Amino acid sequence: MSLEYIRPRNVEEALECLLSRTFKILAGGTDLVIQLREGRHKDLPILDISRLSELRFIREKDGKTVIGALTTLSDLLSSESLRRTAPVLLAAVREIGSVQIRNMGTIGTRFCQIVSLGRKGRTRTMPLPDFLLGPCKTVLESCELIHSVSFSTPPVYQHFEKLGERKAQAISIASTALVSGFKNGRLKGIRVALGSVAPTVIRAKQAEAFLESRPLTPDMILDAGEMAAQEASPISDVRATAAYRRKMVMAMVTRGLWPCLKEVGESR
Amino acid sequence: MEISFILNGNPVNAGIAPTQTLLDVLRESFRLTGTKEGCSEGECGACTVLVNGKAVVSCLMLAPQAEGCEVTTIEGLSLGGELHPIQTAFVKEGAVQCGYCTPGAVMSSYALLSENPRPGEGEIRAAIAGNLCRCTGYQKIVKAVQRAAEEMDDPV
Repeated sequence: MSLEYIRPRNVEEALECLLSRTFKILAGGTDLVIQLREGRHKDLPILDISRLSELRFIREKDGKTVIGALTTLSDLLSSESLRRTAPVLLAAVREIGSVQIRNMGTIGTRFCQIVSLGRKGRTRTMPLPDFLLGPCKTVLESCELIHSVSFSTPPVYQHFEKLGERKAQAISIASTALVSGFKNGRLKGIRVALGSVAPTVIRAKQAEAFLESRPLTPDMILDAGEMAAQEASPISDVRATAAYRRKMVMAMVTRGLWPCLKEVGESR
Repeated sequence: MEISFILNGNPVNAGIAPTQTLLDVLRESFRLTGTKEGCSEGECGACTVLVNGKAVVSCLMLAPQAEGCEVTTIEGLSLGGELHPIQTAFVKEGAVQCGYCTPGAVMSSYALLSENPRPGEGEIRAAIAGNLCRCTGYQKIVKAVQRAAEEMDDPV
């Protein structure tokens, strides 16, 4: 077990530490402490950033929400502004762990569109797909911290569904998030995100383009579900087979789209 | 290294190794063995304590993270030797069988009732979703929390 523990007083100090040597960063601790117990990271000092309040905030301005990386999942759930603008995010957060885990775990990179990374004297910002490289792999360098994540206020229709083996504290078999606006009988700005069915969270871009291409019909919803299922690249593991996951993508995407039929009708 | 924090209302110090968990320190340095170690990976909730009023799993918190914090364990609920109304309700409703999950379930219930004195059944179930019981099931625990809420709201 690592025997060195440093708690920087502010972000500046944390970034200086990170420039000088390699640390294991402690934020929420819900993954790292398990890894330490398993005997991993034996020789690495721990940099405890969990109290850096500079990185714990939720700001909404001009249709854009910025969330500090150390904002806990419970903080998100008690945010009035997120309840108004991004219920889809809160629906997803409610599915993570238990109350205790949500009180400790931070947003880090979960869910959002844009990620800002800070290193001493420089910040870089990128879309989430560029940040995520694969399971537990990101482009974050050892001298950097995640500063914040941000997103534009999603359109009015928002839907999230997770399939797990039971209701409480289940790791997901598959999940889907959909947001869309409506205009002249069509979906506008539709986004279909799929979780646990590819190496990272992905968007079903073919299904999205197809759904926006003409006025929405029931047949299109079924076709879009098939398309999304084909865009997924699931694996078989202890929780489910790849084939089952694909079928569930189809089921969940279409389920998320049915209510849109009524909404587009009203937008004609 | 040395840490100081408030434990069940009293300022305390302890000499610790930086990678000891808060759970280890509570049980081994302070001999407060009411807080249980179950899975050691944050799933079972047997080690639930309150840190600054929030329920956390003490097996996933490093002891140095408690520096300066207010930590409340199950022992802190019955300081005068008298059971807390939540504990009494667990006894009366038979919500205790082997007892291993009980301190954690009581602490989660305490955190819930501190924030929300009259929770609905769904809110109770969500609040204790991180406390696994392998004996009695959850019905009696839910009833105990409902009873505690009523009695705390309306002291006889």
